[in-house]
Amino acid sequence: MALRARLVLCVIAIVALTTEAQLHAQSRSVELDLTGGYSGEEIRAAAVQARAFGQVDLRSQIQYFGEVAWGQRWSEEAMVGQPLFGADPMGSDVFGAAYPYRDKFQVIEAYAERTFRPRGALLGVRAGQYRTPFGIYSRSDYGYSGFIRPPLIRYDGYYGLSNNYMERGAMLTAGVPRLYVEASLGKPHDVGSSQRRNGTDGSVRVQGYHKSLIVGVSHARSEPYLPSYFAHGRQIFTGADARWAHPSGVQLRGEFFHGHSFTGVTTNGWYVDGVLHHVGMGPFTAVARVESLAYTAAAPFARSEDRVTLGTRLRLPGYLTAQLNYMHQHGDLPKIYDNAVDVTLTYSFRYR
Amino acid sequence: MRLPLVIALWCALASSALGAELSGIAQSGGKPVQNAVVWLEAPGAPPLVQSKPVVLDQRNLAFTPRVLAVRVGTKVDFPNNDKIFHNVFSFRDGRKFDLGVYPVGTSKPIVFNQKGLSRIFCNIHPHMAAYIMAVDSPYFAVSDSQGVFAVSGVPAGSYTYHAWRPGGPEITGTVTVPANQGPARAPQFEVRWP
Repeated sequence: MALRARLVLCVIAIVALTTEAQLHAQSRSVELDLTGGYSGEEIRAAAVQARAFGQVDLRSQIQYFGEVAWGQRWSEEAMVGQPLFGADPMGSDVFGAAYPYRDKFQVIEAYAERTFRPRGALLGVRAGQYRTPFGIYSRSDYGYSGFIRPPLIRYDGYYGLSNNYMERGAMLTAGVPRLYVEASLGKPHDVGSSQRRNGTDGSVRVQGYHKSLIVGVSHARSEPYLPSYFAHGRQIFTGADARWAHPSGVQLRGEFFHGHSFTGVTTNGWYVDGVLHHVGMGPFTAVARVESLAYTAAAPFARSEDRVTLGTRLRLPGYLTAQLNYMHQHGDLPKIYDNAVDVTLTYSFRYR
Repeated sequence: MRLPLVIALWCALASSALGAELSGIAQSGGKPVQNAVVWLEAPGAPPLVQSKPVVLDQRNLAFTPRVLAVRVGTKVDFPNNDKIFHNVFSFRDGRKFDLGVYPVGTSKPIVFNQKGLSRIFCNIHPHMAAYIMAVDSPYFAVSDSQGVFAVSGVPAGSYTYHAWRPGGPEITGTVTVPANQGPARAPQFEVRWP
């Protein structure tokens, strides 16, 4: 009954957003993604995301972006090990690439942004609620990109920097396209199962490129997501990220993290994604990921995990996208199985 | 008295030399068709000299314009004006390419060196799609939201025209552009899909 009520609410929200777009059809769009998924870990999932974005008007150049999401997972299998604080009690990160599964509607991002291009420079200001600008952080890089799970270092409760971390504040961008800085100051407003304590967040990211190589360096400070009686000090992470693309359709990207989620522990982690989309492959994109996470702490709290993912994304006619992943992992993070095949089907709709 | 005569003579010569403006309307099922591409066969036309940049912009998670018509040999720039990455590619037909990922403020070009339709996508954002129709003629136009199009600088004569619209078949026919037609007295013709 509660589920039905939420679905009705979702439909109402989508209709309202669509109507709004029809009334003000000037460089404005509304998107809707409906996803169903099944994992070999015997987990089923359903998710909805609705987003509206565009320009307030053509003269002001002020852009806005808003996204609401709902997701729910159902499991019939028990995980091995004790659940981690802040991690999903189901013991799996499947379907968590970019969105939480908390069975409630949530505003994921909502911000306005103005970008200036004086004499080839790049200046911008963003205000509202947005993902922490650290490393590869856009939802576009994780949601429906071919990977069904997030990188280990970017999931709730895995002692890293979650894709579900949001900032409420302001972000400045300054530089030139070849080299620019993004600096954010705000308060945490996380949407996943790990919720950082209230406080002041700051992060800085520098990005530059040479030919087809794009590199970034990031640093972020915020409050821990673990309770204050247990976790002291600040959460501090420094990371590097890179992307490289070849005209043959090969793309490589990855991140490296070092830092701690509170004083006295250390998290090191990395992942490398390979994406192959040769023109001869038509609607298929092949993806592969290797990754590692090491959380160093006093016994028995230390954890480590390594994972390999192979998969494909298929763009089907009729606004449908299918994703298929095979995942193999080993380590001592709580989990259900070491191997799993995950599949999702997403219907996407855009109204302009 | 002599000045108006000179002006009239100059206008007549100029309009003859520059060609006429062939305007019309594209319709399907009695309704105007936006983004229809209309072009005239012109095997003897002078070669392409591209003097202006031709741009297919990436902004607000969309390609703008949605339909772009270019002459074969035209270099099209694909700037990324979003703060997120895009990956422009074309794999089905026409010009096949993959530009890889590139950040805000940067641009990559592609020369459309063969005629035909290219379907342009972003491999990161499934809703981003556009069409580029490369035609072997300098005489082409894309219809606006009212279905109206105007092909300028067309020399007088009889032409075979082609028309294409998103989701529809290419149609063809003939049209005659009379001599001494200036823009103010542009001929009208209709391009109709059933």
